Amino acid sequence: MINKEKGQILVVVFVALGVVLFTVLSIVAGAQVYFQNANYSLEAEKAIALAEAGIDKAITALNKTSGSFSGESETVLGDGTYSVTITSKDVATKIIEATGYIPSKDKARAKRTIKITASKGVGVSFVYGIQVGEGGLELGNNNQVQGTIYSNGNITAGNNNLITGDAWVAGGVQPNPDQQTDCEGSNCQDYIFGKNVNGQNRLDIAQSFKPSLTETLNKISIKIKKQGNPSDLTVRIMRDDDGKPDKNGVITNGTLFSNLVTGEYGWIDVTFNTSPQLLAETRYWLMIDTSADNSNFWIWQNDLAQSYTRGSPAFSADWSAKNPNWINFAVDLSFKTFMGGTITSIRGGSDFKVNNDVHANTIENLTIGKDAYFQTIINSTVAGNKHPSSADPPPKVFPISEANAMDWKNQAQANSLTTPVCGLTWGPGKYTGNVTIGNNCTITIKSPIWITGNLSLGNSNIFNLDSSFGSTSGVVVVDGIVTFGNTNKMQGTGIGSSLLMLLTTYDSRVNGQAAIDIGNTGNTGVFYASTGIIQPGNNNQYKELTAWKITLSNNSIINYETGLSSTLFTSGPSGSYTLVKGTYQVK
Amino acid sequence: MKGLTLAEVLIAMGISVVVGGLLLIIIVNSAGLYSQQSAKLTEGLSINEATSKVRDSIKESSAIEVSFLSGSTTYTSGATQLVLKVSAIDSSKNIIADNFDYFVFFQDGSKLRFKTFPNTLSSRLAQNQIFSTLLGSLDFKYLNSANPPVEVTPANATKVRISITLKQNTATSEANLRND
Repeated sequence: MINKEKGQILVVVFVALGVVLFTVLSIVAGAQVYFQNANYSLEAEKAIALAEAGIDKAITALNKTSGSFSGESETVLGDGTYSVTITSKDVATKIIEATGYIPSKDKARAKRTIKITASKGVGVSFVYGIQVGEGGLELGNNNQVQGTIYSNGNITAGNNNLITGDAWVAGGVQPNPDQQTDCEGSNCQDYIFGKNVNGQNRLDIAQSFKPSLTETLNKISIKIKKQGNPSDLTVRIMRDDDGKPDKNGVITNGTLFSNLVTGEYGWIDVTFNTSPQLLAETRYWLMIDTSADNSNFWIWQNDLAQSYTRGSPAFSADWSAKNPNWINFAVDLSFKTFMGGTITSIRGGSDFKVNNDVHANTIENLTIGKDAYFQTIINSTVAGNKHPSSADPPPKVFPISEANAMDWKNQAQANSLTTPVCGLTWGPGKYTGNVTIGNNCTITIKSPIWITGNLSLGNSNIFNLDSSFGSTSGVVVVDGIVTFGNTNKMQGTGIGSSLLMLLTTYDSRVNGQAAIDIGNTGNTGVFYASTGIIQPGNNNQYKELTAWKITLSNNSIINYETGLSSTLFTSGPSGSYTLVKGTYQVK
Repeated sequence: MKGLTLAEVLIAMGISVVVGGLLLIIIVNSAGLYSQQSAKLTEGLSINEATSKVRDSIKESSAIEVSFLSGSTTYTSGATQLVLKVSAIDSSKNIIADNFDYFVFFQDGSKLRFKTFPNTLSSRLAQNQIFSTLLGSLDFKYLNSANPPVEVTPANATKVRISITLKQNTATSEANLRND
C-alpha cells in the first residue's frame, strides 16, 4: 500500500535555508561592497600620491631645464601611471596639472588630478600698511593709515592722525652688534648643513657666544645662502649645558625666512617671538634646526681663522634626542647679535587716534580704540583694557633682504639699458648713471631694472609693469636717491595683487638725507628703503611703505591692500620654480 | 477513517514546537546578524567617506582658521571642530585670488557634520552634510612640521590628525596643508 501522506519538514527546512541563504548572501554582498569601497579609497589615495609625484617631478624638471619642460603623457610608477601637462601663465608662472591613474590611463579604476601654479619668483609678504625700522615713524598732521603699523623705532605724531589698525612699537635695538664674527679672504669657507655631508648628519647647527652685557637680545643676523628651496628654519637661543646646547634650556625661538635667503651670501636678520634677557659673560647658543634634504639645504659662511674667541660651533643629528650628541668643529660661523635696552614710545599731539590695539613701552597722548599694552602710559584714553607691565614687542624683520636686492641686481646685470623713452618698454636690465624723466611720460617696465644712480621723476609720469607679468610683481632697484614730483604712479599689471615696487638701497643713516622724497598730490605705489628715509609728501595714496625711517608730513593716506601679504616677485638667476601658496587643488 | 492517537498528536506537536523554535532562532539570529553587519557596513562606508573628505579638504586648505563666525554661530578650531580656509573657485574651478571659502567639520551630538560657507564670488555651493549619525567621538590634533611632529595650536599647525570613532569602527588619518 502506498502511503500518500505529505511531509511538512521539507518546507520548513527550505524556509530556514532560504533565511540563512539570504542573510549569508546579503552579508557577503555587503562585505564585497565594503571591500570595493575600501579598495577604491586606497586606489584613490595611490592616484593622488602618483599625481603629487608627477607635480614634484615637473617642478624639478622645470628647474633643470630652465623652464622648458613641457610635461609627459604617461609614465609608469609603482602600481599605476601619471601624466603631466604644463601651461605657461606668464613669463614666470606655469600651471602644472598632473593626473594619477590606477592601474593605467586607458584602464583607470581610480583617477585623481592635482593642479598647482608654480612660479619662478620670490614670495614677499607685506603684512603691514607701514613697516618702519629703527629710524621710527614721524607723522605730521591729518594723516591716515588704513591698516597696521609696525615700527622698530619711535612713532611721533602731530595733530589729527588716525591709524585704523594696530600700532606696534618694538623694543629698541642697539645700532651696533654686541657680538659678531665674520671672515676675510680665503678664510671664508662654506659650511653645508641640512643634509648628510661626508657621513656627518649636519642637521642641527649651533654657535655659542657670550654677551658682553646683561640685556635683552633683540635680533641676530647670520651670513647664509641656500641651495634649492629649503623651508623656513626655526632658530633657537639656548642655555649652555657643559659646553653644549641645553635641550631643556630653549630661551626663545624665531624664524629664518627662506625667501630672504638667496644663492649668494647675505646677512639675514632673525628676530624672536619674545626678547629674552641674557646675562653678561654667560655662554649661550644660537641653534638652527633643519631636516635632511639632499636637494634643498643651507650653507653658512664660516671662518677658518677662528677669529671669534668667545664661542665655537657644533653640530648634531638631533638636538632634541634623549642624549643629543653634539660634535664640535674648528671654525667660527659668521653671526651678529644685537641687544636691546633702548626705551621706545608712541607719542601724539592732539587727536591721535588708533582704532585697535597699541603695543609700546611708552604711550603718550593717544586715544586707543581697543587695548593698550605698555610699561608707561601718559595722558591717554583706552576704550578697551589696559595691560601694564607688558614686555616690549620684539622687532620685526623686513620682508625683503639685502640678498634679495642683490639677486635682482644680478639678474638685471645681464643686460645694459639705454635711457628710457616715453611710450616704449624699458627693461629688464641695468642702467648706469642717473635717470631723469620730465612730465607726462608713460613707460612700460619689464622687471627687474637696476639704476646705479638717482631716479628723478617730474609730474604725471606712469610706470606700468608689462602685462606679460600677469599676477606677479616687478621691481625697480635704485642705488641712489629717488625724487618724485606730483601725480606719478607706479603700477602693476592690474591682475591680482601684481605691483611695481620701487626699492632703493641708499643709506640715509649716514647723512640723514631722504632716500625717497615724494612730492604732493596723487602719487601712488609701493616704496621700499630698508636703510633709507622715505618722505612720502602730502595728499598721496600708497599701498605699502617700508623704510628705516618714514616722515609722513601732512594729509597723506596709506591704504594697505590685503593681497600684499602674498606678493610674488620674479626672481634672479638663483631663483627656481616653486609652488605658489594657495594654488594646490585636488580635482 | 483512522484518527490520530493522543501520543501521535503530542509527538507531532513536540516536533513542531522544536522545529518552529529552531526556525525562529535562525530567523532572529539571521535578522540580527544582517542588521549588525549592514550597520557596520554603513558605518565603514561613512567613515571612509568622512576621512577621505577631511584629508582632501586639509590638503587643499590655505590655513586652519582659528575661528569663523557665521550668523550668530562661531566655529572654533579645536578637538571636536576643524575650520579650514580654502581658496574660492570660479565656475571653471580656477582659484579666485585672495577670496576664501570656509569648511567646517564638527561633532553635533551623535552626528558628524560638514558645512561649507562659500565666499560670495565662489562657485562652491553651501553645504550642510551629515557623514554619520552614529558618531562616538571625534578628535582633531594639530601638529607642526617638526620630525617627529609636535602638537601645537591650530594657528601654528601644518598638519592635522583626525580620529573618528563611530559605534563599531575607528579610523585615524592625517594630512598636511599643501597650501600653507
